[in-house]
Amino acid sequence: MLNGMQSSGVVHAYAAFGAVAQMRYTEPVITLDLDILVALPDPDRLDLLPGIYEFCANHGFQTAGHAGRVGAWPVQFLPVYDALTREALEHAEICTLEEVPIRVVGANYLAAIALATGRSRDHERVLALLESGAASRAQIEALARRHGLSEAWGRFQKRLGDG
Amino acid sequence: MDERIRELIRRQTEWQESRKNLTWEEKLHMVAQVREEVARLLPAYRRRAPNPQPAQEHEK
Repeated sequence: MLNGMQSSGVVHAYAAFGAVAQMRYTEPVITLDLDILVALPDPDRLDLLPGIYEFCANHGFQTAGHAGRVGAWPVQFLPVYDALTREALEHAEICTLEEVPIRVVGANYLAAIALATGRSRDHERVLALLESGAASRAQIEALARRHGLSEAWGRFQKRLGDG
Repeated sequence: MDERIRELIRRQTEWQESRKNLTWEEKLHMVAQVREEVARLLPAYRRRAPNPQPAQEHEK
């Protein structure tokens, strides 16, 4: 569905992020949805997602309460909303899920996005990614510096007791 | 330390390690199954809930 959406121009690019992407590196975490970051052809439009909903409906992917479904996963789409998410999308990695290639946000970007969101569970995600060895402090710090998140990174480290 | 506690910790660690060693796809299948199971149990849980919300009353 996602690759079809990209090849038909409904989205310019997509990548899975959030808990589903995190599970590439950490032990399983409970989540209800597959979060998909998308770059849209016309991001200035106010109604951002109708094209996606229409595509899913026309291709039989629609499901109650969600725009679409990938395998067993109800999908939530989120348009890129800042420079960090745009960059994360550009640097997404290609993995395989149920024998289909899927683009997924990498560990350092996942951590930086979680840092920007800043809730307790997002800090848990940063910690889990660091502990897995998939994300590095140096890389997260560099992303934080470039995207105005140095303060958030400082808060996270302080919370860990080593800031 | 009590031997039973030691055994419990050992098994818990083993379980945690085994989850880490799953492939991405296996982890996603596991979580999807948990999610489906929760969705399956939800109606029965709602029927048993002592103080249902107004919206749940409406479902009856």
